[in-house]
Amino acid sequence: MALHKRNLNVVTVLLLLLHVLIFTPSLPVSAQTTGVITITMTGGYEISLAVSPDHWEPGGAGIVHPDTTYETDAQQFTLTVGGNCPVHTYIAGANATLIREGRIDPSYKWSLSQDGGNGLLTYALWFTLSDAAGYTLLTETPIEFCSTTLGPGDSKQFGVKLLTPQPDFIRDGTGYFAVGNANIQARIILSAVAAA
Amino acid sequence: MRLKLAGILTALLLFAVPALALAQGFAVSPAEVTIENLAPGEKAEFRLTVHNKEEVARTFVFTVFQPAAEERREGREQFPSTHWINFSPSQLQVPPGSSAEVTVTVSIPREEKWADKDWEVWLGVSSPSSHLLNVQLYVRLLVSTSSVVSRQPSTALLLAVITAAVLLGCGAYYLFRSKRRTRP
Repeated sequence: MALHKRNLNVVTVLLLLLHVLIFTPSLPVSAQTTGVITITMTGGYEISLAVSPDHWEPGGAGIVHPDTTYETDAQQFTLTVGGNCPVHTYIAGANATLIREGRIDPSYKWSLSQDGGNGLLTYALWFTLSDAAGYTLLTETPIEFCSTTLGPGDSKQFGVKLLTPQPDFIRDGTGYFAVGNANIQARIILSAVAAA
Repeated sequence: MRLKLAGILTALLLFAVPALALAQGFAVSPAEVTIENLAPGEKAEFRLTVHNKEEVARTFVFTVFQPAAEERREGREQFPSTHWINFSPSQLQVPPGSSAEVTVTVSIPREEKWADKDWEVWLGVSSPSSHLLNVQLYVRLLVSTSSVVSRQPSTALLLAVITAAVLLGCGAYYLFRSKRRTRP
């Protein structure tokens, strides 16, 4: 009987040793220590941007025809940098959506042109700085709005140009959109990030 | 794809919706956040303040944007996953002329391959509107991970401790019993 119990103790010790051997390789990674995490909020920097006006009614009343170009003055809009942080600025376009009763109706939209050409349900947008020689095509990929860093209080005037899509259908020689008296919402996104 | 609408023959399309002739003014601070020595397996938390400078209440939404390599700071790589960044709340209603805060949490998975890295990602703040011109502000987030992995207990370690406790208990029990029975 005493021999049996001694055997049990031996088995227990062996199991403990086996257990240590199995789990030891996984312990060093888990036991590594870490330092203090440092979070630095850069000074009291505040980033701010404003654009005015933020809307445009092409054709005077905001009513457009198929396959037609509309443009603003090159000084129509003013972007102003606020806050206390110099910024890099960017600009991008977006697809135009149909708005019904205050909501986007996904059954009809205009895709933003990638090459400046219009087509069926494809429209194009450009922008120009007031001191630039010509227009720059807008796509959904942000591009530089201003090649230089803008500081707090700086402002830039700019204008936009719109080319509407080809008509959805033609009747008696006249082109029409499939949706009439509807609101189409086009968007231009101006963005900024703290400069280096 | 033609919608059956009354007035389908109308050749005109309303392009712009009537809008207030106000500037879209808002501000975000800080403009840049640097997190250093964040160990894989740990998380860091900070707050952004959004200031609505307009005369109407605005709803602000938050996104994560991966800037192109040439837009990132020198030596910074692309942040591996936008899912590692969480905003709470996910959108913010800010009254006119007021400020509100959003909490940003950055969590790095506990994997050694994420140790000793320098990343950059941008946090986008915008207030979607029906106007033609919209503004989006980006906060630069620079994250550097430590060279070691978090020491939080792993499943294997917990299992090992539990097994060890059970075995030691058994050993002590048998030792106690054998000593009692061998007493004269």
